[in-house]
Amino acid sequence: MTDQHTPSGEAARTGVGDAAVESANLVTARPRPGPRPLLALLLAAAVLASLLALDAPEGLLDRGGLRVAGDMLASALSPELSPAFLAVVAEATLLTLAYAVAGISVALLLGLPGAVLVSGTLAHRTLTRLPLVGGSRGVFATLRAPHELVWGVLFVQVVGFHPLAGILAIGLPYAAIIARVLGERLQDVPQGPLAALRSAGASPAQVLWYARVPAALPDMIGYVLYRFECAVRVSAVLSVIGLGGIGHQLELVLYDLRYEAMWPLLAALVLVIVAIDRLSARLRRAVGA
Amino acid sequence: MSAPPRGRRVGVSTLDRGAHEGLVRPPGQAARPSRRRPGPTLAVVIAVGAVVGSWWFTLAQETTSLPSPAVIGERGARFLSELVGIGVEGPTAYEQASQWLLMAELARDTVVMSALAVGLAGAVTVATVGFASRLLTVGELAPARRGTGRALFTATRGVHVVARAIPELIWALLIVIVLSPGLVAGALALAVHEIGVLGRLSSDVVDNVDHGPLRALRSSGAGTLQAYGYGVLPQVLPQLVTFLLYRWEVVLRATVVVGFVTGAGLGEQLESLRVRLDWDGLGLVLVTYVLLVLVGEAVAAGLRRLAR
Amino acid sequence: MTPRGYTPSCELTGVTLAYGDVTAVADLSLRVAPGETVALVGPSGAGKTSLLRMLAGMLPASSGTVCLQGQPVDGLSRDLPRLVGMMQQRLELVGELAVKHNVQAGALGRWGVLRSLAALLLPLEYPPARAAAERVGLTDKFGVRVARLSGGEQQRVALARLLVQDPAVMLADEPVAALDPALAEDLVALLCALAREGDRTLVASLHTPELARAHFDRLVGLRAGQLTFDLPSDQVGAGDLAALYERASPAPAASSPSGDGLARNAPQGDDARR
Repeated sequence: MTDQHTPSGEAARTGVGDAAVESANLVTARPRPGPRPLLALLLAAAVLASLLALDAPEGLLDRGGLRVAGDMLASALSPELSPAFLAVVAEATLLTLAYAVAGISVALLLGLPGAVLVSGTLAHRTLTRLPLVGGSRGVFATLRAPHELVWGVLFVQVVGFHPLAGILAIGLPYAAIIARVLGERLQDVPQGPLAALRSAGASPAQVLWYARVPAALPDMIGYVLYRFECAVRVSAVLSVIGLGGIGHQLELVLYDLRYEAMWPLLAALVLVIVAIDRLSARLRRAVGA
Repeated sequence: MSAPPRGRRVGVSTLDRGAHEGLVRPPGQAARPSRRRPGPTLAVVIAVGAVVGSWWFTLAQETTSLPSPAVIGERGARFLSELVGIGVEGPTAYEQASQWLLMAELARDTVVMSALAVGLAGAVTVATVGFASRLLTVGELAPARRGTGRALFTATRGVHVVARAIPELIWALLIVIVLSPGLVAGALALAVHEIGVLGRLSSDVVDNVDHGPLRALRSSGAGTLQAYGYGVLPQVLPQLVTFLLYRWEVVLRATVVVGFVTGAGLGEQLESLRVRLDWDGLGLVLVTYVLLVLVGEAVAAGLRRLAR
Repeated sequence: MTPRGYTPSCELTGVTLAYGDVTAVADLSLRVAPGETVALVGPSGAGKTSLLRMLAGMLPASSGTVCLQGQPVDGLSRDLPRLVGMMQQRLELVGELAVKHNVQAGALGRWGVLRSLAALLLPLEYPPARAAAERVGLTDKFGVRVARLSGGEQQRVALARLLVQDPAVMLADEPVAALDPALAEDLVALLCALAREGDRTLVASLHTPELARAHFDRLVGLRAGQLTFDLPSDQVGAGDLAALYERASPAPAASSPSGDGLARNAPQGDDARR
């Protein structure tokens, strides 16, 4: 990570929720001087103040809550594994994956051009670049502020309980996040090769294609896959806006108090996430090394 | 080109690659540890296939048909104007001071919920990060009994993976079965997911600390726990504070959604207004929410700068 | 200088240390009397760091015995921190902690877990740590994080930590490798003064024989893992040093043929052997 020492390298880490993909970068980065203890105290004070702001937690435990928790845990010993139910789990998992893939495809379609826009690398003159970059950043910041499911609530009002609402709910905010984070990655590549290409007469588009994209590609792929992982988690709970998938099946079995059937659903979700994690590590290694 | 088998293998899925390699490799030559890359072409083909298949699968499932573009446009325009309070009878939510006060209160609840979640997750992470790091369970600072260390490591990592893989909202669904709905239940649901995320991030940090000072401490007579306190934690905690700030931004954003289920803060309000079709009220909640998230991001960025 | 009939502070007898097919120390014997200050000199790769690390009990010898106060080092694990302490070339301080805590860390071997954690979290003062910091001239930096200090100041922190650990034998691996000449002279003088004040034995590796001759009782020349000379410092001649650093040594870094160009040699210490 050659960009870790530049101030803009720091900016690249401010993307909402890209912490997981950062782990690789942060860990290999120079040992940073720690924050002042003041900051830690400040955070601790904020948490304590939150605790004090709570109302007295009377009746926190639901009546019979503990017994239910016991039932739930006990049911893990005899999970529902009938072929019919496993088929339901498989279909729900596929649907969840499909929503995530379709959502990410929208996010990439809008987000990749957005990244180029945010990076400001195609605009030659400062006079055109500043409003372009600033404006697009502002728009994307607003688009990504609401959670995916809040977007979902809004889309459902317009297109009804149609899969498109779920796909757009993932695609739109993720396009904004991808544009911002990947845009910063494109900015933060080592400057040497860029200058060399420029002095050889390359246009900004050629510099983008021949120097920026190759340098940023491993990070970009890693980030998109991290977003895909997030998208799977979101699409697993699209039941909140009335769409199918793992969350929908989970709500059904919890409603029927069939706790033994909840385990295969949770296991399927964990397996999918772990698989994406592995795939991401492999792809990053393949592209980066 | 002297490697025709390699070309042939493009298009073979990763799963049965091993079998094919066995066929084309000269007998007696051991498998190389470095894995061959599936060609980029293959990756692109798979990705495009997955996208097409996913669109088909989601849309084919649906029995309700999409309204025509004209209807969507008309509905969208009407919905938007209702959100901002155009064409609403009587005073809109935006014009009522009491509504704004309510928003402030709900925003406070939301912040409290997110701070509780991050605080709880941070405390648990500090307490357990040692068990999730190789360094302290099977590495340099491991206990004498290797079996115990390995078991602790596997268990803690397993808990982190599960906690992280399951989204906040599903944790919320499960937690409200046991706890009564409210702020605490929501904070707990958020915290469980965050423990998974933070656990993974910070155990990587622990495993990457500079081992030199640790050895020096050990050789000057420090025990395991002392070496942990003087040699590991000081290197890890600053990093963890930075992670906590990043994750607080994420949690703040997710708190609203968890509020749908556990009934607290802006999320609860958003859900109840949606059910009552009170669109200008919902618009006001959205405005508050976006402002809260943007202010939160700015505050976190400021604190990070302070930390540097 | 070295009287007979005492228990040597450090004693190596026929010690060999081999990593695979590389021999770092070959059949070496050496005794150091209590309270003596000994400088190990020699080109880089001569085995100085390996020798020190064996004395500190951080590396087991492949064969031969290493004894401290007459007892084999490998049987001493509990008492080792009281007998021997080492200032490593890379210092190995915890940059995120204040000088105070780094210096106190020397006392961890004597403290229980609770006390050490309390000392880390509460604003408690440990008088010996304050005294050690004063002695090395860091009084005004006591509360400053080590990462913010200069190289020379960090060296002093490591020295203060060693003082708090208070071992009978102080070892120092290239303590001045990273310092400019004036600072180096100060630090070596301080190191020797501290050893003599506390009646401690000091064994240090140095790449500047002039400094060694000026401050230490005795010089030991090491080359390719073997002793080339072992003399009181006033008896070490230019010829001894020239032979020590002569070209055609197995260590490629030793390149200066003349006695007066010595300071240019081996600036990296024995790092390659780690």
